[in-house]
Amino acid sequence: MVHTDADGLLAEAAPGRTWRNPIATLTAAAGDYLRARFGHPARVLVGIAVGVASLVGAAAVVAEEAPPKAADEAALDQKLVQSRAYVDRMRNMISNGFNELEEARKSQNVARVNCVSDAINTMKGLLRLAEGIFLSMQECVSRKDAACTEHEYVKISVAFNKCEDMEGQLKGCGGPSVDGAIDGRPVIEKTVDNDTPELNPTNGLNDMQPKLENMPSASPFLNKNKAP
Amino acid sequence: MPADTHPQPPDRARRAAGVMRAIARVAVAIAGFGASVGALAQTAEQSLPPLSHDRGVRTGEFTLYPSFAVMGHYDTNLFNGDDAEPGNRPRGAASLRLMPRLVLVNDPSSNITLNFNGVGDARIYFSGDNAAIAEQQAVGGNVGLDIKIGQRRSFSFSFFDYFVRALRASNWETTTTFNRVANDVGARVEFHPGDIPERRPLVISFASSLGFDWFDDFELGNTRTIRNRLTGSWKFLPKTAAIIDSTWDVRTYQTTDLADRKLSFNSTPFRVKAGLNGALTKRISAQALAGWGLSAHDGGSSFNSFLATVGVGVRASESTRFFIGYDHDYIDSYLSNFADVHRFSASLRQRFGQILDVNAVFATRILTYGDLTGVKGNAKISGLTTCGTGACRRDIALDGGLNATFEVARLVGMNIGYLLRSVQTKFKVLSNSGAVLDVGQYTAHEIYASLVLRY
Repeated sequence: MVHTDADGLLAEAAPGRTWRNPIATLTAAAGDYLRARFGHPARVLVGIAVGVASLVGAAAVVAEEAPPKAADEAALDQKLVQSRAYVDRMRNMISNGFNELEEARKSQNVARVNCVSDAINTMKGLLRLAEGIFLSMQECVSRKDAACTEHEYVKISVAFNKCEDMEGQLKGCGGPSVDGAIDGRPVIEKTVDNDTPELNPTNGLNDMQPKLENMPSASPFLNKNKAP
Repeated sequence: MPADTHPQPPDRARRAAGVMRAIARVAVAIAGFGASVGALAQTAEQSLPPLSHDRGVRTGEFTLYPSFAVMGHYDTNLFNGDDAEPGNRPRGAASLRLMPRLVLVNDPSSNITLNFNGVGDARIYFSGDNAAIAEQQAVGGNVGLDIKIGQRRSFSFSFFDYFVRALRASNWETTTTFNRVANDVGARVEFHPGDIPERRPLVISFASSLGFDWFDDFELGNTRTIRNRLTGSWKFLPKTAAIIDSTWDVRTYQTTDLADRKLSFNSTPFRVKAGLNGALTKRISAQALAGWGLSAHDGGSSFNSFLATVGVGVRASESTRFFIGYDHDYIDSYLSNFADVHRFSASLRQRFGQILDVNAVFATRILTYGDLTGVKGNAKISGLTTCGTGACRRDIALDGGLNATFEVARLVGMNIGYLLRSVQTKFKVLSNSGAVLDVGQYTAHEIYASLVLRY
């Protein structure tokens, strides 16, 4: 026997049984309950409408207050850590600069002292600037504001790069002609884009470690001392 | 990374990350969850950045990374038993494992680099009055040393030595074990013309080693192996390379007992594979290698078929990595010379809040063993034996793992994990009277928790 319900859906029922649309049954039961609980259906409908309107309004407010762009917390934290590293490195550069200044004073080379002092003053200014930006960046991260964080991160990066330039200038003060050849090995630092995958395509090509095959699960058969 | 962690210079951070990954691999191997096949270890699987950075102790040119782990471990089926085996029902065993670790490296940009890695594994079993479990109490571990000379020149020369003391219970409840000692010592020559190591596109390498693999109680399986490996790689993009990899080994049993019984023969296995590996985009990596393998045993049947490795890794977000892959290779077997292995694997790595990493790994292996016709054993074998009639022994092995790593404090970590190992097969060993002695199938579950102190 085939029945057609109000929505035009077809369903088969066992012969000899009266078939009832379950949705219609549920709706009727719900209507009965609401009438018994709240009275006239019109009042129920008004209540539901007010409730839905409140939810829509609340969602709109939440959407307005949400940050403009969903931020990946891990990426923000990574930028914060990197920025802290930049600021720490700038402090170290200035500390090293003071050592250079001390050596310049010992060597009584006025031109070199002036050169180193100028560089250090510029670096100090950059450090103050970077520290201020870093505080702003922490605030951005606490708000999970990716755009703001990125903006501050770029500013700190620029300050850091400028500070590195000044450090190079500082180390060039006096130059080899004054204090002889530059001592020490060059330090190579790689800057890797955060978006670069952590993958070495040739990894494992040099492996020569022992490969120990496991025993197949038939040990009494293999061991001649364990003849059954 | 915790907020108070000072980031290390990139070189050092990368090296420390490599060290930690190596340690993780060793720890996983010690835990008994090694499901890899074949000679190739490259993968398209992308890792998460290291959850923690060790400080290390600087001593002049060298840096020392010490750590100590205490692990509680429980195995539901230590001897791979099954309810169908009257003499070898599943038996659970709890153990305490102490794992000291020491890594020593020098400046990686130096012209002579040294990398030493040692991990100990002392196992204390709570056996009660069970002598078989008590005999599993032992000390194992791995030691690796790699010294490379001239890495900043066109030719470099390396000396290496890898020592393994592997602990493994027998497949039968017995006081004998499958504990073994293996060592490979050898040298490698590399040709890498061009720029500094970071910018070399072409590397050609040849390595040769002499190794042994000796069991404590299963002397029939003792072998000596000469291993040779010739590889070439060309990074035509910074993270993508064309690869060719070939290995040729000479494997010799110390006794002829297994050969006399036609169980396993000496062999000269050969493999060659070529293809591409690396990043397709910033988020997707892939690997496609194909080649040929020949197990070349002196007697009995030999593997002679294609090899393949394909895989795709996806970096779904900064904290999520997926991988799915397939391998076809072969392994040497003490029963029927070799097993042809099809391996399907998948993994998910997820980081939560810079303090918790969850890794889920699952692999299915379909192993088809060589022909067992004419085997002279000390028992009858039932099930699938004769490949000539299309009825080789076939096992389906399931290996799975779920591991959570917590960064408890700056120098303290914690691991909690679960491992599954299971073999499903119709292969059986019967007594001369026809009683079931050993069925090949078994299922075991392992759980563990460890606390790691490191510096």
